[in-house]
Amino acid sequence: MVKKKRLEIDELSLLSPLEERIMSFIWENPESTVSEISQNLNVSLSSVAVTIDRLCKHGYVSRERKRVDKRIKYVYSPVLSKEEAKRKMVEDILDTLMERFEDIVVSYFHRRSGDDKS
Amino acid sequence: MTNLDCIFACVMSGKYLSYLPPFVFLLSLSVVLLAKDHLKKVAGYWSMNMVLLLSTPYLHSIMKCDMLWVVKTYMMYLLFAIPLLVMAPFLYKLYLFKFHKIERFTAMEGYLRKVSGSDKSRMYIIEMALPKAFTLGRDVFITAGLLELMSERELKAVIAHEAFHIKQNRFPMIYAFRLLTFIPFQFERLADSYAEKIAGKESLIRARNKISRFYSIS
Repeated sequence: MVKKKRLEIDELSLLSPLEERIMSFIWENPESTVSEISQNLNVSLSSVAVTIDRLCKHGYVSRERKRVDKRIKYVYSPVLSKEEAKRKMVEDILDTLMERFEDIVVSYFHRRSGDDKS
Repeated sequence: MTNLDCIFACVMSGKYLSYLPPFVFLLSLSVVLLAKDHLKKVAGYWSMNMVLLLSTPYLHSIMKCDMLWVVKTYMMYLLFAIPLLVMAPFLYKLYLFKFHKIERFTAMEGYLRKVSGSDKSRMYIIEMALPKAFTLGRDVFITAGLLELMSERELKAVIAHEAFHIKQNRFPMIYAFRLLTFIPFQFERLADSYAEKIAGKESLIRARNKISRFYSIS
C-alpha cells in the first residue's frame, strides 16, 4: 500500500488519515456520537474515542452533553468550518516556524514581497 | 551465613522482643487467608505490610552480620520510594485538574456516599471519550465515555466497585505497599465481589462486557 501523502498542495492537511476521515464525517454530520462515527466509518470504538479526544484537545471538535430520554449522550460537532480549519493549519505551521526560526521566516517573507513588487 | 540465615538467627535469639514481628506477620497473614469479610482481608494485608516495613530497620539494628548491604539497600529504596508513593495520588490529582476538563457529577454522589460510607466522597466527570473509572483517595473519577456507555444500573455497579476502593483507601498507604514490599494482593477481585453484592452480579457482568467490547477485548 502506498503511504498517504500527509502534506498536499491543494488539500493541505496536518491530520492523520483517521483524523481526516472522522473530521470529514463530522463536517457532514454535526452532532454525531462516538458509536455513530464508529459504525459509519467501520473503525473500532476505542480508536474513534482516542482520536476524537485528540481532535477536541486541538480545538477542531467540540463535545456537548445531551439527555435523550434519561440516557446521557455526548455529541461531537465541528468547531471550525473546512476553510477555517485549513487556515488554522497553515497558521499553526507558520506560528511554529516563527517561534523557532523568526529571522529566516521574516527575511523570507520580506524577500518574497519584494519579488512581487518588482 | 546468608542474609536469610542471619535474619532467622536474629529472630530466634529472642532478644529485644524479636519474636514479635514474625508473630504479628503470621497472624495478619492468617487473617488475609481466612477472613470472609473483604475489609478484614484488607486490614490483614495492611498490618502484614506495616510489620514488614517497621521491622526492617528494627531487625537491621539488632543484626550483627557482615552481609547487611541487602537490608541497607532496601532501606534506602524505602526512603526514596515512600515519599514519592505517598505524594503520587495528590500529584496525579493536580495533573488531572490542570490538563483535563473536569466537572462535578452530583447525580450519583448520594449513591456513592451511601455505598462507600464516606460522606465527603465526591464524583467527577472527566471529558474524555474513552470509558474509564478510577478512585483517588475518596473521590471517584469517571469519564464521559463511561457515562454514555453505561445504563444507570451498570453505572451503579461501577460506582460500587470504586466505593470498595474508597473503603480500602482508609488504610494509609495501602496501594503503595505493592511497590514497597512486593506482596501481591487482589484488590480488583475484592472490589468486584463487593460490587456484586451491592449492585447485583448481572449488572456488573453487563458493565464489564460493555467495556470489553469497547476496547475489543473478547
